[in-house]
Amino acid sequence: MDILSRYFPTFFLKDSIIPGHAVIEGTLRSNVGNEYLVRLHVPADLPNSVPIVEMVSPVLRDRFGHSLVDLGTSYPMHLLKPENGIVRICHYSASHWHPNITFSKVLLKIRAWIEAYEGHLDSGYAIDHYLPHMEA
Amino acid sequence: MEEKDLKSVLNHLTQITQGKTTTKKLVFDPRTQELVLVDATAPQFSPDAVTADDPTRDGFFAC
Repeated sequence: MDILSRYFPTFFLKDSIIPGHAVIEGTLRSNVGNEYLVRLHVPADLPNSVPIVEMVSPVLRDRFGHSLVDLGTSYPMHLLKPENGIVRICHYSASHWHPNITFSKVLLKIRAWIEAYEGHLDSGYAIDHYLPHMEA
Repeated sequence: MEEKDLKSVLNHLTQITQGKTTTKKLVFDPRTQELVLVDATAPQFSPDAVTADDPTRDGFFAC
């Protein structure tokens, strides 16, 4: 948590400390000052698998007014299938994950996703216009 | 000179996504929580700043 608190001081471990049940939650703020509550699920086999990252609030909509939850799995918007009505970001694949990737690096990617999301709201381009897909 | 307006940041991300070389680098400043564009050859922007280019270049899972 030391590196995480250095770069993302609003993020804290909530409730359980048991991997598989623990979540880390905090706020990311875009350059224009919009705030997003982000939840990171600590995997049971930490650090060997990809943590799930959810955008808890606000309710995210695309430029055309559709809820991102309703988009379901979205290749161009880098979204996984939502769970419990909450958007999940498609950040690392299991095949590209390795145990030395830190939560801070994951959150940096989410921070870039937020800026690209706001770009989408402004321009209408899908998020993958701004953020590339991983090599297969 | 640093830039942090949405248009400049997005132009930079688009260039990375298109595989183009850039004269700027995107860094994350933990003090302000901002993504800031700085000259790639400039001295370190801030002792705490970290690159946001590398995780971006990694790409996002093609789900």
